[in-house]
Amino acid sequence: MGEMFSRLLYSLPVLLMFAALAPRAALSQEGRKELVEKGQYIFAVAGGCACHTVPKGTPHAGGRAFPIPFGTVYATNITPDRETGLGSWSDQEIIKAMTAGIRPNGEWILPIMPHEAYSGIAEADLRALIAYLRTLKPVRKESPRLKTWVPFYRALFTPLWLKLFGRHSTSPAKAPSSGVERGRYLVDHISLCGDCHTIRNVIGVPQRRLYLAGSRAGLLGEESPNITPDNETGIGKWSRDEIAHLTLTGFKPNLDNVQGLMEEVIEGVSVGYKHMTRQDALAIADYLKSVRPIVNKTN
Amino acid sequence: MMTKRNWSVTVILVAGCLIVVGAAAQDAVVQRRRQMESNNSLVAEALNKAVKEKNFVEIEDKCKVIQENMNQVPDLFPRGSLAGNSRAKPEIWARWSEFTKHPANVTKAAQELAAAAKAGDAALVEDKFKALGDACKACHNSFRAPKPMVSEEFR
Repeated sequence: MGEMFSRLLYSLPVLLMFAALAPRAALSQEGRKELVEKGQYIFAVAGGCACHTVPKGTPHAGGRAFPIPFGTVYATNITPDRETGLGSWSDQEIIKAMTAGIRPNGEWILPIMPHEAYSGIAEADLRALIAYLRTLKPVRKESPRLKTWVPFYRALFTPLWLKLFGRHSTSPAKAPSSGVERGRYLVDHISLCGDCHTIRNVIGVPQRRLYLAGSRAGLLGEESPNITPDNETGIGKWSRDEIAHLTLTGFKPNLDNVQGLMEEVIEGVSVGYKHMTRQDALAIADYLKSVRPIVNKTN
Repeated sequence: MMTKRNWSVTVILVAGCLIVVGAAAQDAVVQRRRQMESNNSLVAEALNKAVKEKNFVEIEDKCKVIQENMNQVPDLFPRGSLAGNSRAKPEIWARWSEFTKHPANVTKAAQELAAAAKAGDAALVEDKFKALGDACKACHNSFRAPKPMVSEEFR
């Protein structure tokens, strides 16, 4: 009896320690869940990172072809597969790739992957996004290598291009939470409207004086309309509700529906713009209505 | 044996036929785009406004116009009319009976929307209006290509 009592007495500190740590562990698990949910939301607002999925192909496993000046580049596998995806990369390495365009092996990432734009994402949003990416189903799939006839395209041409034309931003301490500033943050750094709706020149430099004024040949060569508030050639006559409605559903005020890459980012691969909150869709609408109207007919 | 003159006449006739056929296809595309992108688009925009304003009389009226327009759809797609900036997919003629079901589905959706408006049921009108949009989208996504793309490789 005495021996049993002394055993209990000795084990008491251990039990007390478990009792003290248990709520913290539960809290940490809860915090992790929240982080992943937030990351999933960022992923949705980024159009489900649709560029990393071949249409009707394996989700997020890369391999999608994109035309670039003088060649074709293939999207990478962003699943947590250790051999062919991001599984063996640290959070810091993923952040460096996403915001500076440099892989862990020091290789440059071509600027068609919008690392310039992503450099303006708030760190908390980036960390959440990475936490979500780590929950994706790992898929073992190598992406085809860059096809180009230009020698040293990645090693020389890319850093030179970035030096001359790149515009990396400073990540804000905190993402704006509402209003036009929130809209600008989403448009420029997460949803990346300008990637398709701002025309680029022959070497892929966005024409900033035609910011969001549309392009006859967007990212995939598709026509991307003028989304500045010009009344005749843009969306000046659209209400903020109509712009938000298109962002969330893909339907225009005339019941026509968007197709191509715009439809893909709205539908998303697992999640997309359609999962955005109405408040964020309205913030995007408010920002689009606030930019300089530009006359530019794309069709 | 054909003489030089006969050859010239034949070449001119064939070229003339090709020009006429090409022009007819181009006309069909122009007429179709005018109907689909101007007429239907304006009607649908007015319908959208009426739904938002709960203007049930206007909804019924616009639904009638949509039904009339849908009756014309098959005639707007003469075989092979793919000239110029047409976004019609060649599958239209390969799967003609499937294609022609779509305008019929839009007509049915418009009739149901009109009935909801007649009943003055605002919630049902919202649902049926969404269903009408989905009916239009189903056809577009099956038989209309996105605006021109660089190459099949990037689809």
